[in-house]
Amino acid sequence: MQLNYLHAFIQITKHEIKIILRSRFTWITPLVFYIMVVCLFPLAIGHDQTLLANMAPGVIWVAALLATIISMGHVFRNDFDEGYLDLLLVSTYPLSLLALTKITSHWISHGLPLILISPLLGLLLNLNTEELCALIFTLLLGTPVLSLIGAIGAALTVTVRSNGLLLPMLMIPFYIPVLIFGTGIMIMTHNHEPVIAYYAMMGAFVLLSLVFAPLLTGQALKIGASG
Amino acid sequence: MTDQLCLHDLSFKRKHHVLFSKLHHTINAGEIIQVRGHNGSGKSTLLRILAGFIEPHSGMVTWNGLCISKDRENYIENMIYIGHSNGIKPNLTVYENLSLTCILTGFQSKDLHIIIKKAGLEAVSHIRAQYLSAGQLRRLCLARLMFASSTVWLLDEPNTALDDEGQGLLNTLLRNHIINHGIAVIATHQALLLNHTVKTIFLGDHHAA
Repeated sequence: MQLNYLHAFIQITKHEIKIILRSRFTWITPLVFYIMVVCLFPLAIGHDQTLLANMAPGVIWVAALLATIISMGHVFRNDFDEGYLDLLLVSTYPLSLLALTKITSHWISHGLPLILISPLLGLLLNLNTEELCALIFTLLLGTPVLSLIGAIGAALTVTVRSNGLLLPMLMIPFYIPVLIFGTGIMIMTHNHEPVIAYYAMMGAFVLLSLVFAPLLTGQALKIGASG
Repeated sequence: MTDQLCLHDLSFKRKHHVLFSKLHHTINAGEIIQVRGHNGSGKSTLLRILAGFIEPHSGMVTWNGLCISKDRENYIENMIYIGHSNGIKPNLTVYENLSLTCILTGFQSKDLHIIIKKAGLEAVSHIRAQYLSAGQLRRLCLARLMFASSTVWLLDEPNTALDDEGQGLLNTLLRNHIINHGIAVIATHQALLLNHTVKTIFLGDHHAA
């Protein structure tokens, strides 16, 4: 049988995105959470604009990270309940490819809106143009890593009913490097220091997780199904 | 070579409770096997083992002489499993659901509309699956059997919620499958109304078949 992996990948991802967009709460809730957290900081801190600009990288990155964790729980939960995972497991396509479609659709429906709204929030936190660019670039490199790593955790906890804080506790340690480098780039941009090495490091994170996360997610799903 | 699915001394334990042990069966092409047993006797578990989702505690399942966990890719291409939970996405339409499963099974089909018509879902083909009745969802599942060219059909309670017409559809599908030298393993309580001898596997206390 002739299998066209790229064609299948695009088709399945299209369907997945359609599924996510049609259940509006799934993708709007994390986005609203992200906007709310970031908006509350200027109100709480008051009129000290330098303090605000200094805190901005941390605030935005922590909010983005938590918003991703909130959305991560849904990735395989519904598939498991609906028996759709069984279909994935007996698909003719490798499980890692199917995991990658889930991750890609998650990033497009959750990560991309965060990035698109970020310039607006950056202005609210008194960032200048150079820092806004750095914010967008770090989020562009960082959010795929969050989705990729998060998918492993989501797949591992798929059979655990009412897992609550299990997934965040499992994922946060792995998110820390991305957080450190993401905020690091923005702080260094703020201080006009060279950041190219940090960007390279972020790029390495993306490539590394792009190779391993789909494989591990696929394996985790296989283990989940046998429970 | 004719196709053959073999169960070699299958045993499965849940906690300390033995669901079944030393289950030995050979299923040849053109045979329907009905799996019977009271609730909780392990019918679904047996089907999930046959589909390769769960490893049995001892014994193995072979497809044309090769263990299904070793020769997984080849087996998957020849097998279709329709489980308890339907595997249908509630916010996709009937047509979209079918085309998604179609892509997943690696089967290129341009005639999804014909299949939908055969399954009697023509009127609802552009309605989201969440608004369908249980029987219609079941029909949508069975529609998968029509485009899959799989030899082995593993059906878990395929006739729940089906009306007489749906039942008839299932029987026709099974009859054609047998004529084409297919294999079907069906877990159900109801008697199958086929003009064909159906072998039975009893699980639980009724070992005398």
